[in-house]
Amino acid sequence: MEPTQSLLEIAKEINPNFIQNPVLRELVIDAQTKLVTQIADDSHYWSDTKFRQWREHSSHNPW
Amino acid sequence: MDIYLAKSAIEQSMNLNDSSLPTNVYWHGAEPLIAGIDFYSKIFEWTEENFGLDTVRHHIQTNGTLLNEHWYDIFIKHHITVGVSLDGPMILHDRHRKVKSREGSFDVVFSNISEARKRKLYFDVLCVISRDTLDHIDELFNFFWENKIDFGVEPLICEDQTQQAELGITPQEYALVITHLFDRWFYQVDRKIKNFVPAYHYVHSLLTGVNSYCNFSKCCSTHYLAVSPDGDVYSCIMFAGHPEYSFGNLKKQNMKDILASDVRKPFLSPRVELIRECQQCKWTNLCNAGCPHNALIKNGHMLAPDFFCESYKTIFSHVENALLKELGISSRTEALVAGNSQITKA
Repeated sequence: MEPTQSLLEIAKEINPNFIQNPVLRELVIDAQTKLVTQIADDSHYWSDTKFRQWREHSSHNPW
Repeated sequence: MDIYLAKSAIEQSMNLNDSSLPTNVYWHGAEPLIAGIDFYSKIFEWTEENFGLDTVRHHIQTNGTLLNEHWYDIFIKHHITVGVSLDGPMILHDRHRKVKSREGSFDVVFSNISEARKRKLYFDVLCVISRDTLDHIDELFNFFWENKIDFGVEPLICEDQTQQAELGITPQEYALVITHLFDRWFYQVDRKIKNFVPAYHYVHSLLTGVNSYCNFSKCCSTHYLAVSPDGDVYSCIMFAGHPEYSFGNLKKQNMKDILASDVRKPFLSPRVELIRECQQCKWTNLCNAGCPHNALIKNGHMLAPDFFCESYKTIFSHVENALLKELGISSRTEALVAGNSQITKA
């Protein structure tokens, strides 16, 4: 079952420059520019992109 | 934990990890700073000398009471990220977090956080929510917002049922707390809090189709493991104290053999595919049946939905509606601007 297909599709197509909410905008950019595997690695292993985010603005607790 | 065991755990884990990905080491509870500065100095220097700064990354989860300039120096020098346990404003934090004199630790912890911030130490806050938090949700958010502190909340979960009834919160209460905090975070006018966990993870999952929350990992044991001070290896530290869930002991076996243990096998199977209730659920592909430890607490076994299953459903629906609304507004703005642009050109 794929309940959020419409949201995923919107995220793929929308122009992120029109999104006011910065967290939403960053994630939409991620969804449009990164492979799913890269997003997964960033999430699970704190690959370089994720770690840079932390250094710029500490925010993310893995637990 | 003795230093030889610590080094062995790190080195063996690293050798089994994909070499293109960093190995993250989280030092946590009870209170990891009790091990002392000398212990961590040696560990951090050893890992940097042998593996480099970005190959093994250390993170510490502390109650914040022992932090001082010496700790700040070592954390900054070695690029250590620090999570501090702070349960909100004093009225909430001091109810359960007390020092030896039985006084609350809020003043000490908050002062230490302020100093850490001045020193530009990378830190965030983990806030445990209990029954006591329920009447103070807005105060909780306002506190972090006014102080511009990104935070994550975790519900208190007690294995003892009497304690759980006294201190813990129900799935319905948890859903109310998170949806309310989500709204406060998502609709901030003056955006003083960038990330609030777990709301960030719900948004992440819904927009990318990839979950980033450890509770929603399909098979968390493929990329997490925990080592207790006595060398027992578990899927997660939540299982420490349950010898039946230990994969083996690093003082007696090597990590490769430990990870081949039969005890680990259930942790490598996607629970979500084996739980009947999950097959009919709209959110199955995002929550993956939730946390196995939360399932164990409620049901006595892991092949059941997470204790907070009903909360997750409510929160996912709430966040999905908010995102659809927000992206709809952005989409209409985009269309409007595109329309105006065509009129201008004409």
